[in-house]
Amino acid sequence: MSLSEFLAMGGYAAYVWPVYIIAAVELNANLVIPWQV
Amino acid sequence: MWVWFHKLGSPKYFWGFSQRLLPWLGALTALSFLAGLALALVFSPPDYEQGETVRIMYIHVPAAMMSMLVYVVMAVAGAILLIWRMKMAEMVAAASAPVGASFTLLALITGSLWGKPMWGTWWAWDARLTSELILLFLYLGYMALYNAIEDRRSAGRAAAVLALVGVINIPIIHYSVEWWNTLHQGPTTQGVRVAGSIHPSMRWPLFTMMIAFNLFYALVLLKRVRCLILQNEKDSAWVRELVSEK
Repeated sequence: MSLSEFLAMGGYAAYVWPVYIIAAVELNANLVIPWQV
Repeated sequence: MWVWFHKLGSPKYFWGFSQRLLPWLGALTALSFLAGLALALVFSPPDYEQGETVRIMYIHVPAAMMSMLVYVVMAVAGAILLIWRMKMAEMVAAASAPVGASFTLLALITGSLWGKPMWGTWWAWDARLTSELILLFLYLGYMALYNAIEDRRSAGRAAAVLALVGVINIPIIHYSVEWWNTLHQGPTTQGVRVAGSIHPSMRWPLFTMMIAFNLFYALVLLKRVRCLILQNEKDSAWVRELVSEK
């Protein structure tokens, strides 16, 4: 599988990648906020 | 075990215990997320019906599972607070609420992003989705109530009652797909066995991500409780000594 095929996620990239990006943002926010209190 | 549990009720003991645990927990969480992401995005196959959208499951299912588990932790901590008046139980519940709310929000958003390509809609007022949305409101209500009351002791008790009343929603969420005809699919996992109808090639990535999410919750919980200890115990001698050392 090429990188472009992997990134395309079988035509569902617009749904799959936002899930991982939102999860990364939310989990990182949870991790960072207590450190800054 | 009981003696150790009692010792954990002391903020000073908890501080020392969590200090030693945090680096190991951080490393384990990072490793399990790396393994889980590699398995979920690279090594697991696409589904024969859902294609690549099945990869949303590796975030959605652990987030939904944690949204319920964290609320149960809050309810148990609330019961401990009401029965034994343990200060640490109040801190555990208060520290868990924002984390649980973010897991619930994540489950709802990822479910919506999965629903659009598979069901043709971002949202449906079906039993599973609606009960999960109610869970988010319960978390928000808990945080609003806890922060609205000035007296910390009364705030902790009032919020504990809300957590205990709201826990009735957890079996409703879990069994909603069996009790009602819902658009949402049946249970992906069956308790801790992670069995159901999942093929091993998808079961292990899901299981790894579930472990990662559990470890992540433990990590953030320890850190948040430590912040609350510093706030609540700021007048005690050991905290003043600790602050002056730094």
